[in-house]
Amino acid sequence: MKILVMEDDENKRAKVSDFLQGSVAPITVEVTKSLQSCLRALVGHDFDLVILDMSVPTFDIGPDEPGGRPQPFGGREVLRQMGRRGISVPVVVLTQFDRFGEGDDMVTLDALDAQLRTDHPKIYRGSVYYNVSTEGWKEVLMEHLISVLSNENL
Amino acid sequence: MAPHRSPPSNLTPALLDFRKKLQTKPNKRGILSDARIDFHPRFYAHLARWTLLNVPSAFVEPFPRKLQQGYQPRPLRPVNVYREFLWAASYLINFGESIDRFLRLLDTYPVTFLHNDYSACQDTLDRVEKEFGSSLWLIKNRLPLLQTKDGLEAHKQYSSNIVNESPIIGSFEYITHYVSVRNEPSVTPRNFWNNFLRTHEHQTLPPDLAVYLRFHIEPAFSLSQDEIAAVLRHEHCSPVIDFYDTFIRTAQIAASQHYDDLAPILREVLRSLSTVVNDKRIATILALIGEPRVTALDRTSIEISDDFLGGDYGRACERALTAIEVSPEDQGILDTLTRSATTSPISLPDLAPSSSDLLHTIIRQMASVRAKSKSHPDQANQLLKLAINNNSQSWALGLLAIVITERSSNPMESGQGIVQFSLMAAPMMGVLSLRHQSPAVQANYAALCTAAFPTARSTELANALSSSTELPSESVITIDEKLVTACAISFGAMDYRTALERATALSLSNAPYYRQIAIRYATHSLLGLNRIGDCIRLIVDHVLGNFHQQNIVPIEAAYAAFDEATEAELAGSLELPIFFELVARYVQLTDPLDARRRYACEDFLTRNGVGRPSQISCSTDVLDQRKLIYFLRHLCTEAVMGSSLEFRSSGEVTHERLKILQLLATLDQEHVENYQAESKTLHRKLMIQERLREVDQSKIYVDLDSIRKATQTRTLESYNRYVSFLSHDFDVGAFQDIQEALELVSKGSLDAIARLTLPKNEITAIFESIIGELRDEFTIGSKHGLDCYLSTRIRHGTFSAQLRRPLESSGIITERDYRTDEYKRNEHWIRQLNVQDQPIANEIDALLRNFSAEFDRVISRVVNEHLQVRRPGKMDGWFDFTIVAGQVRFLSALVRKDLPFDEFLNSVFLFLMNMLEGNLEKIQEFFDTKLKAELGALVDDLQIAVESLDRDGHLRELTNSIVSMRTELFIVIDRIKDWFSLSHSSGNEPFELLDAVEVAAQSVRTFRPAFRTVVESYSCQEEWRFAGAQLPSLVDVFFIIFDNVSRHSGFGETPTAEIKIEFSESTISVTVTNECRSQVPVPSLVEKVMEIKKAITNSEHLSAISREGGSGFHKITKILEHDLGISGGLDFGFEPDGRFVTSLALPYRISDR
Repeated sequence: MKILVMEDDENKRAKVSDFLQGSVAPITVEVTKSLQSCLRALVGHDFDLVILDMSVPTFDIGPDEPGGRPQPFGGREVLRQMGRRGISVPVVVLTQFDRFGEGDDMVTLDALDAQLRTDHPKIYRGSVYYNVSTEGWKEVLMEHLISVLSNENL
Repeated sequence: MAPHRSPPSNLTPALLDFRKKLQTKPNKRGILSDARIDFHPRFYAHLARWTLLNVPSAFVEPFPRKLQQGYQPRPLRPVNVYREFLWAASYLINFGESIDRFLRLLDTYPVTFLHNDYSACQDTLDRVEKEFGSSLWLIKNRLPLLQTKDGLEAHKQYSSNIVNESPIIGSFEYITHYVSVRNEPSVTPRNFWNNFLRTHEHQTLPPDLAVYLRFHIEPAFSLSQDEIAAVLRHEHCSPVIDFYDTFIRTAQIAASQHYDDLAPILREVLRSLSTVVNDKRIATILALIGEPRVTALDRTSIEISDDFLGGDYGRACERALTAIEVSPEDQGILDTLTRSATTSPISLPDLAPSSSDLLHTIIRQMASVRAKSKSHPDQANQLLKLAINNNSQSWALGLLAIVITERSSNPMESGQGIVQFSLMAAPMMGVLSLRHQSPAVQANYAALCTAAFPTARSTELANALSSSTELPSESVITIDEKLVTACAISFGAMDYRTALERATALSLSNAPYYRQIAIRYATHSLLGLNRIGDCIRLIVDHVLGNFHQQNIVPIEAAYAAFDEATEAELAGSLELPIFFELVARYVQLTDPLDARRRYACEDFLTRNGVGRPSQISCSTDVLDQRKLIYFLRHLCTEAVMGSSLEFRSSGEVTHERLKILQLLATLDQEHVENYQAESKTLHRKLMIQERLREVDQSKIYVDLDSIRKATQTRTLESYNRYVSFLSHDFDVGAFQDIQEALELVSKGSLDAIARLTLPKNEITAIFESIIGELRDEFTIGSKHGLDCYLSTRIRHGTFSAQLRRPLESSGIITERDYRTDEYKRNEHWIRQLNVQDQPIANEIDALLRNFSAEFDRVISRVVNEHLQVRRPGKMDGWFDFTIVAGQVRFLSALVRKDLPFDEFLNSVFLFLMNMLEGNLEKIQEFFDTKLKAELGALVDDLQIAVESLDRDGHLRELTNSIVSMRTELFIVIDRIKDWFSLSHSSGNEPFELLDAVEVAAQSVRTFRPAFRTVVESYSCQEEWRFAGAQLPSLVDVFFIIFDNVSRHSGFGETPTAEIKIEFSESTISVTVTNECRSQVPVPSLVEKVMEIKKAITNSEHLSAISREGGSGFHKITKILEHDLGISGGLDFGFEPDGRFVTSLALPYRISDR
């Protein structure tokens, strides 16, 4: 099983990778840190599942790259781009936040989840709330993994 | 029964009872209130008259000397709108004579106001006040007059006298306050409405009172019947002047909104009032609700309209200009005049005198608004504001209606009732605005015209609009006006196909004004026909040809009608991304349409077979140039292109934008300066980024050239002595041990090297001393060693500030109080979370303060203990240059008796650089593992602690902020980690002084985003460029100065450095000035500054270079003197006003040592 993860938080990225690789064997995890690197990976390779953070930078941040514009709804943009490019891979949003954006653009996780279900009914599987202090996210993510695996086997 | 009828001859018991109660009971207003409900309206006239004569205290003072500030009697109990109108008329008719006198006093007011005779205006208002007392009407007219005549201060003084004199804020004060705000010069109508409505909505007012206040302040021109009743009921608590004014205005609203069921009552009350009051407005309302006996038409106005309709625009202009001098309040004449001026081939300035009075300013601005000149949006706003603030005058209402219809894309715009209302309010009506009116008004107007002017062209036009069938012949009115009328008729009948055909014909008019009308009808007809794609194409075509006319096409309505079919129809076209851009620009949406614009751009590029916009140049000849230019200029921006897979970095995106700007410069010569300016900004941005990177990579640095020079005396002498011993074959030990050790190393035993030793004798002691000296110069040499650069470039605030930035920007960390050394209370989050429970608030504060302390402790430990050269007293330093005996032995083997000192130095430097590199690798590993783990654990603990306090989700915002902060903190640690690599020279690229200033400012902004620099008078010539290698040193100088400004400036969140750069023949003088907390020099600080200066003069600064936490002036002195070779170039101190000044004198072309 090949999973693509888009996550800019180093700590969370490591924990999610560790969990995925230790959960259901055999799993290959490809990690991306920005909207662009995620889209590039999606266009170039086949995946069985995509796990998206919602707020990411445009480009991978590095010594020579400040990251471009912050993308508070980067996960939604990936889903839209997948729709435009006809990429049909199950997607789970794994986020540490319960609201996104600022001011008039602010959206709660529940509202965003509902919007994504409406806009991308075929590929969007749901959102998982990640928290450093609890392990609940692992159980929910595992359910999604099993669901994807079951569909694969069918 | 009409209000003026006599009281009944035989008094009923109920009436007698009412009289008795009113005379004997204390609650007179309550009794009056009950009577309004209990008695049939036919008794109202009697009730009002009798009460006024016998118990006047039941009413408010009709003409009060002073408004009863803070006290208003309670309004009478509600009755329906019919009864309210009848009651108002029954009461007011008793003051008919006074009201008439009041109106006569005002007869000349519009003329004096519009001709800038403000003294006469003031005199009139003073007379009104003297004779009729104070009133809201007076306040609402005094405020704009004071603003126009005496300015803001006078108008605010007047309003604050009214508001502040009152012990509590009542309706008068509330209205006065907001009307005053509305009159302030900097307040635009749109902002005023937005702010007022937002505040008003949050007030917990009874609905009736809220309507009443809105009616006066907004002001409202459209009300429901219940709202009209509420306004009248509340106004009955006001003086007669206000009650009458509101009575007339609500009657105008009722008539303009075609409340047909109210028409009989309105006729009755207005007819009765007109017997005692001569008010042109009453005549107009009666005329337009079908009262056949009155006329509101003015012959001159009709004749001027006829000139216009017949196409004699010059004559219409001339006659209108003469007529408007006499009747400036006549909106019909103003309407015709400005239409004629826009259509006439003779320009208005040729026709109109260049008078600067308000009337002529209005005429010129109105003509500009009609013609949609480039400045018309501003002028429309000015007119709108003028009209709103003088809305109790009829001319202002006419003006308001014209501006609203001209600014709108809707050919039938009603302006939420204002257009219809203004016609009711106008003393003389204009036929040309008739197409905005309802069929009933059109019919009544046509009937009036036919009766008074049966052969007039205006009558033909009114009859055509009214009948909706027969159009006047072209011999009567111009073809353009005929087509406008035809459009209005077919559009009004929702025959959009015919309307579109007629609009298309009108669009061929020679007059731009008629082409504007045509585009309105055409686009709206296309919307009516559901041809959204065609409508969008037309909108894009029109806006791109007339940028300042975007308001006359229905962008918002077309977007609202936009559907999947339209998207499919326009996919890949240039019009679609441009349309989305227009929507994003001109329509207030919560979704900025970023994705739609981006995808539409991508689709267009894909259809044209290119990936990047700059590649489109080959096909420019087949595309509409105007659209292509707009597309490239406004859509192919970094923000839109950033998400395209065509680009792999933000730098690539910037370079693509630069290519686009080059292309635009060739396509669009008119705006070439704009493109050059943007290009320059982007190049500068790239340069700053590049220079910042260079400076970041220069943080680990050792000045080897300087060490080389410094060792040319004592160390060279020792070396010569050592070599001399070698040449005399003094034994340093055979190299056999080294060869053996190397063999053991090759077999994996590293201990062999450690066991190597030099024999103990004089010659080896000399060699060990040489190596020790060189190592110490390399590491802790006060002018050129590693530690002095670590101190200046990393430890001196930079490290701490960078790591603290994510915490500061999220408000999680606070600073220590300099008096108590305790962390300050975290007011930001206590306020943000609105925690009502004090113990919880204290717990949150304690958590954040403890976290701040722990975080700073880690930073302090790293700075003070680890980012140090390991030596006695700093044994936890990460820069370990301990040289074991075996290494010295190895180095000794390199020296031959004929080895020049410089080559020897090179070998030792190489050796030390290798040691440094090894240290840096370990430090990077420490950042990646231990520092991230330690700080990450602190943040995790904080998050868990906050979540444990969060029982109801109220602290989620803080948790979210902690999560974001952790992500950003790790990115910052990665960035800092990259500093710890060997320095790369900034190359030979020369730079301007301003580059160093901007790079330093940008560095400060990475941890103090609000830091601002203001550069005064700078113009660099080619010869004033510095050698590239000096960039890091000059950046260090400015960084220290700016860091001081950001830390010590009194402006908290927006510290500002004012920079003055002056060039003379041999020197560049730089002065940096900043405000301080105190506005006078603080003696203790002045003394401290003097001490620093003294220490610098006495060359005591070298010992202070490796210490952090001070002002940094010792470091600047060292950089100037040592790194840049400038002595005496620094001065600093307080000015008498408390500002701090740092000045530098940099010699022309500082020698690159």
